[in-house]
Amino acid sequence: MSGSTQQATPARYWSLLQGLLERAAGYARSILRSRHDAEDAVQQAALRGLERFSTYDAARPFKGWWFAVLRNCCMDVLRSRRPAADAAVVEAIAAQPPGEEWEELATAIARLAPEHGEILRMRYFGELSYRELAAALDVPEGTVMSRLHYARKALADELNRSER
Amino acid sequence: MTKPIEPRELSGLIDGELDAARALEVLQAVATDGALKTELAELKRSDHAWSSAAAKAWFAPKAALPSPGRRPGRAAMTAAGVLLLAAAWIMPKLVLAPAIMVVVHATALAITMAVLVSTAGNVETSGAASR
Repeated sequence: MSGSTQQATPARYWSLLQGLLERAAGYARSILRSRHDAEDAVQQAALRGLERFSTYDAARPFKGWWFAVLRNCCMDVLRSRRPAADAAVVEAIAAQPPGEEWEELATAIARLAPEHGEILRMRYFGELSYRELAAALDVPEGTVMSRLHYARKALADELNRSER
Repeated sequence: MTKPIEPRELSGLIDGELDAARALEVLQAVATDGALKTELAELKRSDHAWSSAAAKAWFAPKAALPSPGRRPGRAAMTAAGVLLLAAAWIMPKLVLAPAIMVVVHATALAITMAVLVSTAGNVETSGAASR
């Protein structure tokens, strides 16, 4: 762990991670649309983060750093799904409209530009602050404010369109 | 002179991400500008709805994560148990008070049970992690 006098011990890592798991599970669920896959992704991210904890810069927010690890794990889970199984999931989602509010939100977010979808998922499902978002997305905080604002407006347009 | 308000700062305001002085300037501008007021009200309403919708996706994952707490090493616990059992065997030969023998026996039994429980817990955790 660079940039700090605190040591990069596993105990330190787990203590930083403890409060993040529920938001992390919700964030992964919004991408993967499966509670089981979300649990797998969170577990993979927890272990991968531990392996890479020595590279974490303690001057930056831990949550932002770890959510970037989690996002990559979610992408790995998506890539590892078999195409046939994926197609079946897509068909099932298309045939049956989302049943819960969060699914409706996740479906609308999925229709946005990737950079808008990414920042909205982290903001709403992960509850990341601007500083944490800047660390996770590797952009300045000013860019976070602009991107989030335009993403929100795009989301409002998307939800209005789907209601009509 | 106050810097003009940028639309993105309305998002910054509802997220609580503006510094206090700038937040006050934005609020003063909103109070005198009907268009800004309407936009801020819409952003606030949808932000609240989306935040509460997203919160319904949260759950506690059943990930098999190792415990961060420090526990005494299994070898140290086993050694302590063996020493106490040995003491329990030797003490009657030394004709000590029966009360002391009872305490020593009970302590040895408790430590042995703790080792067994700890071993069972580790087997379960490693089994879950390998799944």
